[in-house]
Order: sequence, then C-alpha cells, then structure tokens
Amino acid sequence: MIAVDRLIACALGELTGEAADEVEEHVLSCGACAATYASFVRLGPAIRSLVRDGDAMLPATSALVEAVDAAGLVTRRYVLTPGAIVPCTVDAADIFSLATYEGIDLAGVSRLDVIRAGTRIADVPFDARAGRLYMLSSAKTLRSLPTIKLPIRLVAVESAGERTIAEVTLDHAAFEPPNA
Amino acid sequence: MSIAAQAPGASDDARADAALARRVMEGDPAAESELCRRLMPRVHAWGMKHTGDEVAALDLGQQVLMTVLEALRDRRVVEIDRLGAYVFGVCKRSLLALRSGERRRAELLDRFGMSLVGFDEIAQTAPDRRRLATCFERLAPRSRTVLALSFFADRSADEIACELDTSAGNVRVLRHRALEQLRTCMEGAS
Repeated sequence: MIAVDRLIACALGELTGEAADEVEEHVLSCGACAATYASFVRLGPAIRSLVRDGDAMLPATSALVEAVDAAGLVTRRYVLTPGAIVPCTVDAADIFSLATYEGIDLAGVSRLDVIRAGTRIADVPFDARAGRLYMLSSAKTLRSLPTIKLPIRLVAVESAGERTIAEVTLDHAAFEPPNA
Repeated sequence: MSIAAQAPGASDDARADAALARRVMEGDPAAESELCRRLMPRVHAWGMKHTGDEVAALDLGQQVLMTVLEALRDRRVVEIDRLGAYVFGVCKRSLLALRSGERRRAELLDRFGMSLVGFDEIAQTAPDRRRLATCFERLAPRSRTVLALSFFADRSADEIACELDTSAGNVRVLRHRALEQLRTCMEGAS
C-alpha cells in the first residue's frame, strides 16, 4: 500500500518526474491502491459536473463567481446590505442564485460565520478588502422552501468571542410551478 | 522461480501477478483472462488520469493488456517479478501511440480479443451523483469552495491561495483532506 496523500497528489497532477512515476508504477502493481487512485481521478470531473448542474451550495470567491457566471449558471442575483430586507424567489429555470453581501466591515476579521435561520455555516471565505461575501445557492434547494422570512446574521468569530457584523433578512416567496 | 524468490517487499498483488504471468508464458488461456481481470482496473485508473475520459481509458487498457500478453507469450518480459514496472512502461508507450494514431489494434484484437471481454462495466463506475451531492454538502464551506475553484473554475493552488489569502501549501492540504473526506463518505464509511 502507498500513502493516500501521495495517491491524491498524483491524481491531481501535483507530482512530476520520478515521484509521479513511482506512484503510477505502484498503482499498476496494486489492486487496492488502483481502486483508491481511480476514485480520486474520478472525483474531479464529478465535482465539475455537480457544480455545472447546480447541485451544490457554494460559499464563493470572486473567481468562482466569475467562472460560474461565465458558464451561464448564475440566473438570479441579490445584493444584501446590512439591515436590508430583500424580497426574493426562484423559478423553474433557475440554476444558481447569487447573494452578494456588500458594505460590510470585514477589516481584521479572520473567521466569519453565517447564521441563516438558526443554522450556522462556519468559516466561510470572504473578500476582506472589498468588504464582500458571496453565496451561491442551488435553485433546486431554494425551490423546496416555503414562503418564509429568513433572518441572516454574519458573525465574526474572535478569540474574545463573537461579534455580529451584519444582519439581513431574505423575504422569500415560495416557488410556484408553472402549471400550479 | 518460487514465490520465496520474489523481489523483497513485493506485495501480494505483485506476487499473484507474477504467478499468473508465468502461466501465461506457458500458454495457459485461463491465466491470460485472470491476469487481464486483475490488471484492467489498474490500467484503466492510470488511463483515466492521463486521458480524462472513461472510454478512452478503456480503449487504452485493452491496448496495454494485449501488448503485455503478447510480450509474455513471446517471453520478452525479463523481470517477471516486476510486472507492474513492465506494465507501466507499456502504458506510457501505448498512450503515446494512441495519441499519434500508431495502433496495431485490429491485429492484436484478433489475437487476444477473447481475453478482453467483459470490461465495459469498469467505464460505468462514475460516482453516484446523489451520494456525491450529499457528501459534498457535508464538507466544510471552505473545502467546498476550494474544490469548486479547483475542478470547476480550473484554478491552480497558487491562484486559490491568492483568493483565500492563504498559502498554496495550505490549499493543497485542504484539497487533499476534502477529497479524502469525500471518498470516505462516498464509500459509506461516514
């Protein structure tokens, strides 16, 4: 057997030359390692397909938003500023709904949690310099929501405790199927 | 050569492969089929990495196995206890040949086709989508972002590190952990 970490590195193309050859030669001599290696080789395309089909909720960065948008997958956008109550909905054609949190002071924040209707999403990536946070929500998930007001709180987690950065509310109107 | 004379540290798989290879050299058709059954998933995994395509990897796998069987029959494999190394060399040469279109495919299929039936299911083992979606949702938010940036946005570890204001090494560690968590979850172990 070979260390899983080396199989992953090789599958991702992080190894080159002799290091890659050593792992690949082993994979061709070991059924168990080959099966593990195959799993990792297959996961990349599977993840790409998962995102392309809008089957994931993604805390995003500007580069990810750019890529998803360029693929034509961002079909609905909302800008959320502190204190805002934002009407929102979803329809049958939607793939991803992009929520951009703007105008928030993220200077000095090292960890940011999003608490949405009581559920905590811990340690989301954010753009501190621009004061922005992006969330890509799967329309498939949003279509299952009832009409509801969703309170959202952004919380900086610091050594001294937690500090609320912003609070917004999504005023969600439930999906209505075209033939309803 | 007896099993006791195998290369030091040889794995059980390598020992079993070598034993089968010796039977192939003696002209045992059952050993050819068994050796192909054992080697095909490994060669296919290697081929998936290098071609990025399930069907092309299967095609490559068949080419590699035919070449290996031919070499064994002709007793051209010198280090039979290091069959994996030999297969690796054939893989690399076959990939080059496949890419440049220099194939002896029809001739080899005619000679060895019977040992190569029943491998289509290997190319039909893509991860279960529903399970993948569930497992993906269980990952930490930052891990999901890193995987999406890596595999959907095709960003390098350096580029992702810039986006997340961290080091490329940290991105690689996060990506490795996330992939291992996904694999474990996909196998139903957690």
